[in-house]
Amino acid sequence: MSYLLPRLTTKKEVDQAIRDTAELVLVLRFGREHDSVCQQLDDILFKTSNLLSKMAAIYTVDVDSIPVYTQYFDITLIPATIFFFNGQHMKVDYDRPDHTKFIGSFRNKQDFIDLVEVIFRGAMRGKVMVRSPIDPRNVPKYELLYKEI
Amino acid sequence: MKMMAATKKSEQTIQDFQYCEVCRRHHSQGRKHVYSRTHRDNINAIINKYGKKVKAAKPVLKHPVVDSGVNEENFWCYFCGCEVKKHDTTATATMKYGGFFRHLASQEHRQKTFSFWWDHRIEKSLKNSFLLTQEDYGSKQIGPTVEDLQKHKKQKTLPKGRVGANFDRSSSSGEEWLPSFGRVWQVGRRWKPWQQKRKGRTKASAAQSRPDFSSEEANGP
Repeated sequence: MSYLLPRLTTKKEVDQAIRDTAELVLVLRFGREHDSVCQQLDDILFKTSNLLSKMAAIYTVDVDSIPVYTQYFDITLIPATIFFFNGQHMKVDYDRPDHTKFIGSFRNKQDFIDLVEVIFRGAMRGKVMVRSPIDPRNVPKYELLYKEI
Repeated sequence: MKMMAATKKSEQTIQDFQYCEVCRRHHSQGRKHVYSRTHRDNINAIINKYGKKVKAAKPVLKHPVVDSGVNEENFWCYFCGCEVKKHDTTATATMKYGGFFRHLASQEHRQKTFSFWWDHRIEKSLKNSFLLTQEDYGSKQIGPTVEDLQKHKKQKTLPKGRVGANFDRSSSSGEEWLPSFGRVWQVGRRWKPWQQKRKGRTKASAAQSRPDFSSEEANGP
Protein backbone atom coordinates (compact mmCIF):
# COMPACT_ATOMS: atom_id res chain seq x y z
CA MET A 1 0.00 0.00 0.00
CA SER A 2 2.92 2.35 0.64
CA TYR A 3 3.28 3.04 -3.09
CA LEU A 4 0.01 4.96 -2.85
CA LEU A 5 1.40 7.35 -0.25
CA PRO A 6 4.01 9.99 -1.10
CA ARG A 7 7.47 8.77 -0.18
CA LEU A 8 10.50 10.74 0.95
CA THR A 9 13.85 9.31 -0.02
CA THR A 10 16.49 11.91 0.89
CA LYS A 11 17.25 14.00 3.94
CA LYS A 12 16.52 17.12 1.94
CA GLU A 13 13.04 15.92 1.09
CA VAL A 14 12.29 15.14 4.72
CA ASP A 15 13.66 18.56 5.76
CA GLN A 16 11.44 20.21 3.21
CA ALA A 17 8.36 18.29 4.30
CA ILE A 18 8.97 19.26 7.94
CA ARG A 19 9.67 22.92 7.13
CA ASP A 20 7.08 23.54 4.45
CA THR A 21 4.05 21.77 5.91
CA ALA A 22 2.09 24.67 7.39
CA GLU A 23 -0.87 24.46 9.78
CA LEU A 24 -1.12 20.71 9.20
CA VAL A 25 -0.04 17.73 11.23
CA LEU A 26 2.88 16.15 9.42
CA VAL A 27 2.83 12.37 9.74
CA LEU A 28 6.12 10.59 8.98
CA ARG A 29 5.94 6.82 8.83
CA PHE A 30 9.38 5.21 9.17
CA GLY A 31 9.41 1.60 8.08
CA ARG A 32 10.10 -0.92 5.40
CA GLU A 33 7.85 -1.53 2.44
CA HIS A 34 7.87 -5.32 2.69
CA ASP A 35 7.28 -5.54 6.41
CA SER A 36 3.82 -6.97 7.08
CA VAL A 37 3.02 -4.62 9.97
CA CYS A 38 4.17 -1.68 7.89
CA GLN A 39 1.80 -2.78 5.17
CA GLN A 40 -1.08 -2.88 7.65
CA LEU A 41 -0.21 0.58 8.86
CA ASP A 42 0.20 1.95 5.34
CA ASP A 43 -3.22 0.58 4.47
CA ILE A 44 -4.76 2.53 7.36
CA LEU A 45 -2.76 5.66 6.53
CA PHE A 46 -3.73 5.56 2.88
CA LYS A 47 -7.41 4.96 3.54
CA THR A 48 -7.58 7.86 5.98
CA SER A 49 -5.29 10.25 4.08
CA ASN A 50 -8.16 11.70 2.08
CA LEU A 51 -10.44 12.11 5.09
CA LEU A 52 -7.65 13.84 6.99
CA SER A 53 -6.45 16.00 4.12
CA LYS A 54 -7.42 19.22 5.92
CA MET A 55 -5.67 18.17 9.11
CA ALA A 56 -2.68 16.09 8.13
CA ALA A 57 -0.07 15.47 5.46
CA ILE A 58 1.13 11.88 5.42
CA TYR A 59 4.50 10.68 4.08
CA THR A 60 6.37 7.41 4.23
CA VAL A 61 10.11 7.14 4.79
CA ASP A 62 12.27 4.07 4.40
CA VAL A 63 14.38 3.53 7.53
CA ASP A 64 17.38 2.37 5.52
CA SER A 65 17.46 5.28 3.09
CA ILE A 66 18.10 8.12 5.56
CA PRO A 67 20.37 6.90 8.38
CA VAL A 68 20.81 10.45 9.71
CA TYR A 69 17.17 10.68 10.65
CA THR A 70 16.83 7.07 11.71
CA GLN A 71 19.53 7.76 14.27
CA TYR A 72 18.37 11.24 15.21
CA PHE A 73 14.82 10.06 15.84
CA ASP A 74 16.09 6.97 17.70
CA ILE A 75 14.19 4.57 15.54
CA THR A 76 14.82 1.06 16.79
CA LEU A 77 11.43 -0.46 16.08
CA ILE A 78 9.45 -0.29 12.88
CA PRO A 79 7.00 0.93 11.88
CA ALA A 80 7.47 4.14 13.83
CA THR A 81 5.16 7.08 13.25
CA ILE A 82 6.35 10.59 14.16
CA PHE A 83 4.23 13.73 14.23
CA PHE A 84 5.24 17.33 13.52
CA PHE A 85 3.33 20.58 13.49
CA ASN A 86 4.78 23.72 11.88
CA GLY A 87 8.27 22.29 12.11
CA GLN A 88 7.86 21.40 15.77
CA HIS A 89 7.92 17.81 16.93
CA MET A 90 4.76 16.73 18.76
CA LYS A 91 4.99 14.37 21.71
CA VAL A 92 2.11 12.07 22.54
CA ASP A 93 1.59 10.17 25.76
CA TYR A 94 0.50 6.69 24.68
CA ASP A 95 1.03 5.08 28.13
CA ARG A 96 4.17 3.56 26.64
CA PRO A 97 7.82 4.35 27.43
CA ASP A 98 8.42 6.34 24.24
CA HIS A 99 6.44 9.54 23.88
CA THR A 100 8.13 10.69 20.73
CA LYS A 101 6.71 8.18 18.30
CA PHE A 102 3.98 5.63 17.82
CA ILE A 103 5.35 2.13 17.41
CA GLY A 104 3.51 -0.50 15.38
CA SER A 105 0.24 -0.33 13.54
CA PHE A 106 -3.05 1.16 14.64
CA ARG A 107 -5.85 -1.25 15.42
CA ASN A 108 -8.28 0.54 13.11
CA LYS A 109 -8.73 3.69 11.05
CA GLN A 110 -10.74 5.50 13.71
CA ASP A 111 -7.86 5.24 16.18
CA PHE A 112 -5.54 7.03 13.78
CA ILE A 113 -8.13 9.68 12.90
CA ASP A 114 -8.75 10.35 16.60
CA LEU A 115 -5.03 10.63 17.29
CA VAL A 116 -4.43 13.11 14.44
CA GLU A 117 -7.41 15.15 15.55
CA VAL A 118 -6.19 15.32 19.15
CA ILE A 119 -2.69 16.35 17.98
CA PHE A 120 -4.15 18.97 15.64
CA ARG A 121 -6.39 20.47 18.31
CA GLY A 122 -3.61 20.35 20.89
CA ALA A 123 -1.17 22.06 18.53
CA MET A 124 -3.71 24.76 17.73
CA ARG A 125 -3.94 25.43 21.46
CA GLY A 126 -0.17 25.61 21.73
CA LYS A 127 0.50 22.24 23.33
CA VAL A 128 3.64 20.39 22.31
CA MET A 129 2.56 17.25 24.13
CA VAL A 130 -0.88 15.67 24.10
CA ARG A 131 -2.52 12.66 25.68
CA SER A 132 -3.34 9.86 23.26
CA PRO A 133 -7.08 9.22 22.85
CA ILE A 134 -6.47 5.62 21.81
CA ASP A 135 -7.55 2.86 24.20
CA PRO A 136 -4.24 1.60 25.70
CA ARG A 137 -5.32 -1.95 24.91
CA ASN A 138 -5.11 -1.05 21.22
CA VAL A 139 -1.57 0.31 21.47
CA PRO A 140 1.14 -2.28 20.80
CA LYS A 141 3.28 -3.07 23.82
CA TYR A 142 7.06 -2.88 23.67
CA GLU A 143 9.92 -2.32 26.02
CA LEU A 144 12.89 -0.08 25.72
CA LEU A 145 16.07 -1.44 27.22
CA TYR A 146 18.27 1.36 28.43
CA LYS A 147 21.91 1.29 27.66
CA GLU A 148 24.59 3.67 28.89
CA ILE A 149 22.61 5.49 31.52
CA MET B 1 -28.41 11.72 -61.61
CA LYS B 2 -31.03 13.98 -60.17
CA MET B 3 -28.44 15.63 -57.93
CA MET B 4 -26.12 16.23 -60.84
CA ALA B 5 -28.90 17.85 -62.78
CA ALA B 6 -29.73 20.13 -59.91
CA THR B 7 -26.17 21.38 -59.52
CA LYS B 8 -25.82 21.89 -63.23
CA LYS B 9 -28.97 23.91 -63.35
CA SER B 10 -27.78 26.54 -60.89
CA GLU B 11 -24.16 26.12 -62.02
CA GLN B 12 -22.94 26.49 -58.48
CA THR B 13 -20.68 24.19 -56.57
CA ILE B 14 -20.27 23.86 -52.83
CA GLN B 15 -17.20 26.07 -52.94
CA ASP B 16 -19.33 29.04 -53.95
CA PHE B 17 -21.21 28.97 -50.68
CA GLN B 18 -19.98 30.64 -47.50
CA TYR B 19 -21.37 30.34 -44.02
CA CYS B 20 -22.35 33.52 -42.22
CA GLU B 21 -22.17 33.01 -38.46
CA VAL B 22 -24.23 36.10 -37.75
CA CYS B 23 -27.15 35.13 -40.01
CA ARG B 24 -26.54 31.43 -39.40
CA ARG B 25 -27.03 30.48 -43.02
CA HIS B 26 -25.07 29.69 -46.16
CA HIS B 27 -25.05 32.20 -48.95
CA SER B 28 -23.38 32.65 -52.31
CA GLN B 29 -23.20 36.42 -52.36
CA GLY B 30 -19.56 36.71 -51.36
CA ARG B 31 -18.52 39.98 -49.73
CA LYS B 32 -21.79 41.59 -50.79
CA HIS B 33 -23.56 39.67 -48.07
CA VAL B 34 -22.31 41.86 -45.24
CA TYR B 35 -24.10 44.85 -46.73
CA SER B 36 -27.43 43.06 -47.12
CA ARG B 37 -30.48 44.19 -45.17
CA THR B 38 -30.87 40.97 -43.13
CA HIS B 39 -27.20 40.89 -42.18
CA ARG B 40 -27.21 44.54 -41.09
CA ASP B 41 -30.33 43.94 -39.01
CA ASN B 42 -28.73 40.94 -37.34
CA ILE B 43 -25.56 42.87 -36.56
CA ASN B 44 -27.54 45.75 -35.09
CA ALA B 45 -29.51 43.34 -32.94
CA ILE B 46 -26.29 41.81 -31.59
CA ILE B 47 -24.70 45.19 -30.89
CA ASN B 48 -27.84 46.36 -29.10
CA LYS B 49 -28.23 43.22 -27.03
CA TYR B 50 -24.58 42.94 -26.08
CA GLY B 51 -24.32 46.68 -25.53
CA LYS B 52 -27.12 46.54 -22.97
CA LYS B 53 -25.32 43.80 -21.07
CA VAL B 54 -22.08 45.79 -21.02
CA LYS B 55 -23.94 48.90 -19.94
CA ALA B 56 -25.56 47.02 -17.08
CA ALA B 57 -22.19 45.66 -15.95
CA LYS B 58 -20.08 48.84 -16.22
CA PRO B 59 -21.15 50.44 -12.89
CA VAL B 60 -20.02 47.27 -11.09
CA LEU B 61 -16.48 47.80 -12.40
CA LYS B 62 -16.25 51.03 -10.39
CA HIS B 63 -17.93 49.63 -7.31
CA PRO B 64 -17.32 45.86 -7.10
CA VAL B 65 -20.14 43.82 -5.60
CA VAL B 66 -19.59 40.60 -3.68
CA ASP B 67 -22.63 38.42 -3.01
CA SER B 68 -22.86 35.40 -0.78
CA GLY B 69 -23.72 32.14 -2.42
CA VAL B 70 -22.73 30.45 -5.66
CA ASN B 71 -23.61 31.88 -9.06
CA GLU B 72 -22.56 29.78 -12.05
CA GLU B 73 -24.18 31.99 -14.73
CA ASN B 74 -22.56 32.09 -18.17
CA PHE B 75 -22.74 34.59 -20.97
CA TRP B 76 -22.22 34.28 -24.72
CA CYS B 77 -19.61 36.47 -26.34
CA TYR B 78 -20.83 37.02 -29.91
CA PHE B 79 -17.48 38.29 -31.14
CA CYS B 80 -15.42 35.38 -29.81
CA GLY B 81 -18.17 32.82 -30.36
CA CYS B 82 -17.68 31.22 -26.99
CA GLU B 83 -19.37 30.87 -23.65
CA VAL B 84 -17.65 32.50 -20.67
CA LYS B 85 -18.30 32.47 -16.91
CA LYS B 86 -20.05 35.69 -15.94
CA HIS B 87 -19.05 35.87 -12.26
CA ASP B 88 -16.05 34.89 -10.16
CA THR B 89 -17.41 32.37 -7.72
CA THR B 90 -16.01 30.32 -4.87
CA ALA B 91 -17.73 27.90 -2.53
CA THR B 92 -19.07 30.72 -0.38
CA ALA B 93 -19.02 34.00 -2.28
CA THR B 94 -19.50 35.47 -5.75
CA MET B 95 -17.78 38.54 -7.17
CA LYS B 96 -20.29 39.93 -9.65
CA TYR B 97 -19.21 40.23 -13.29
CA GLY B 98 -15.66 39.11 -12.41
CA GLY B 99 -15.44 36.74 -15.37
CA PHE B 100 -17.25 39.20 -17.64
CA PHE B 101 -14.70 41.98 -17.11
CA ARG B 102 -11.76 39.61 -17.31
CA HIS B 103 -13.01 38.44 -20.69
CA LEU B 104 -13.54 41.98 -22.00
CA ALA B 105 -10.03 42.93 -20.90
CA SER B 106 -8.40 39.82 -22.38
CA GLN B 107 -6.06 40.08 -25.35
CA GLU B 108 -7.96 37.34 -27.18
CA HIS B 109 -11.26 39.19 -26.95
CA ARG B 110 -9.56 42.33 -28.23
CA GLN B 111 -8.24 40.60 -31.32
CA LYS B 112 -11.53 38.83 -32.03
CA THR B 113 -13.45 42.08 -31.66
CA PHE B 114 -11.14 43.88 -34.06
CA SER B 115 -11.52 41.16 -36.70
CA PHE B 116 -15.30 41.02 -36.13
CA TRP B 117 -15.53 44.74 -36.79
CA TRP B 118 -13.39 44.40 -39.90
CA ASP B 119 -15.27 41.39 -41.27
CA HIS B 120 -18.72 42.87 -40.81
CA ARG B 121 -17.97 46.51 -41.61
CA ILE B 122 -19.35 47.92 -38.39
CA GLU B 123 -19.24 51.54 -37.27
CA LYS B 124 -15.82 51.98 -35.61
CA SER B 125 -17.00 54.29 -32.85
CA LEU B 126 -19.09 51.48 -31.33
CA LYS B 127 -16.08 49.26 -30.79
CA ASN B 128 -14.60 50.82 -27.66
CA SER B 129 -17.61 50.14 -25.46
CA PHE B 130 -16.98 46.40 -25.86
CA LEU B 131 -13.32 46.59 -24.87
CA LEU B 132 -11.61 47.14 -21.54
CA THR B 133 -7.98 48.16 -21.29
CA GLN B 134 -5.81 46.30 -18.78
CA GLU B 135 -5.39 49.55 -16.82
CA ASP B 136 -9.15 50.01 -16.49
CA TYR B 137 -9.56 46.43 -15.41
CA GLY B 138 -6.70 46.56 -12.93
CA SER B 139 -7.15 49.99 -11.35
CA LYS B 140 -10.92 49.97 -11.01
CA GLN B 141 -10.96 46.75 -8.99
CA ILE B 142 -11.14 48.25 -5.54
CA GLY B 143 -10.36 46.05 -2.58
CA PRO B 144 -8.63 42.69 -2.40
CA THR B 145 -8.93 39.98 -5.00
CA VAL B 146 -10.89 36.85 -4.20
CA GLU B 147 -7.69 34.89 -3.47
CA ASP B 148 -6.34 37.55 -1.11
CA LEU B 149 -9.66 37.66 0.69
CA GLN B 150 -9.65 33.89 1.23
CA LYS B 151 -6.05 34.02 2.44
CA HIS B 152 -6.84 36.80 4.83
CA LYS B 153 -9.85 34.98 6.24
CA LYS B 154 -7.80 31.85 6.79
CA GLN B 155 -5.06 33.71 8.64
CA LYS B 156 -7.55 35.46 10.83
CA THR B 157 -9.00 32.24 12.20
CA LEU B 158 -5.64 30.76 13.22
CA PRO B 159 -4.90 31.12 16.92
CA LYS B 160 -1.79 33.12 17.76
CA GLY B 161 -0.48 30.71 20.37
CA ARG B 162 -0.51 27.63 18.18
CA VAL B 163 2.55 25.41 18.01
CA GLY B 164 5.25 26.76 15.70
CA ALA B 165 3.36 29.96 14.98
CA ASN B 166 6.62 31.87 14.66
CA PHE B 167 8.46 29.12 12.82
CA ASP B 168 10.82 30.79 10.37
CA ARG B 169 10.58 28.93 7.09
CA SER B 170 12.97 31.26 5.31
CA SER B 171 15.96 30.45 7.51
CA SER B 172 18.69 28.50 5.84
CA SER B 173 18.39 24.74 5.64
CA GLY B 174 21.57 23.00 4.68
CA GLU B 175 22.75 19.49 5.33
CA GLU B 176 23.28 20.50 8.95
CA TRP B 177 19.69 21.49 9.65
CA LEU B 178 17.68 19.23 11.94
CA PRO B 179 14.15 19.70 13.22
CA SER B 180 13.26 20.01 16.87
CA PHE B 181 12.90 16.62 18.43
CA GLY B 182 11.98 15.77 21.98
CA ARG B 183 14.02 13.13 23.70
CA VAL B 184 12.79 9.62 23.97
CA TRP B 185 13.08 9.84 27.74
CA GLN B 186 10.87 12.24 29.56
CA VAL B 187 13.74 14.05 31.28
CA GLY B 188 15.83 16.74 29.67
CA ARG B 189 15.17 19.59 27.35
CA ARG B 190 13.91 19.33 23.83
CA TRP B 191 16.93 20.91 22.23
CA LYS B 192 19.37 18.45 23.89
CA PRO B 193 19.38 15.81 21.16
CA TRP B 194 19.94 18.49 18.58
CA GLN B 195 22.83 19.93 20.56
CA GLN B 196 24.39 16.52 21.01
CA LYS B 197 24.09 15.87 17.33
CA ARG B 198 25.78 19.15 16.58
CA LYS B 199 28.68 18.35 18.84
CA GLY B 200 29.13 15.19 16.83
CA ARG B 201 28.58 12.95 19.80
CA THR B 202 26.92 10.05 18.14
CA LYS B 203 24.66 8.50 20.63
CA ALA B 204 25.19 4.78 20.62
CA SER B 205 21.81 3.31 19.95
CA ALA B 206 20.33 4.31 23.21
CA ALA B 207 17.37 2.14 23.11
CA GLN B 208 17.18 -1.48 22.36
CA SER B 209 13.88 -3.07 22.27
CA ARG B 210 11.88 -6.20 22.44
CA PRO B 211 8.47 -5.93 20.95
CA ASP B 212 5.62 -7.90 22.43
CA PHE B 213 3.90 -8.15 19.11
CA SER B 214 3.79 -6.82 15.60
CA SER B 215 7.20 -5.22 15.37
CA GLU B 216 10.61 -6.19 14.23
CA GLU B 217 13.91 -4.58 14.97
CA ALA B 218 15.11 -2.05 12.49
CA ASN B 219 18.63 -1.52 13.76
CA GLY B 220 20.21 -4.52 15.30
CA PRO B 221 22.45 -3.81 18.27
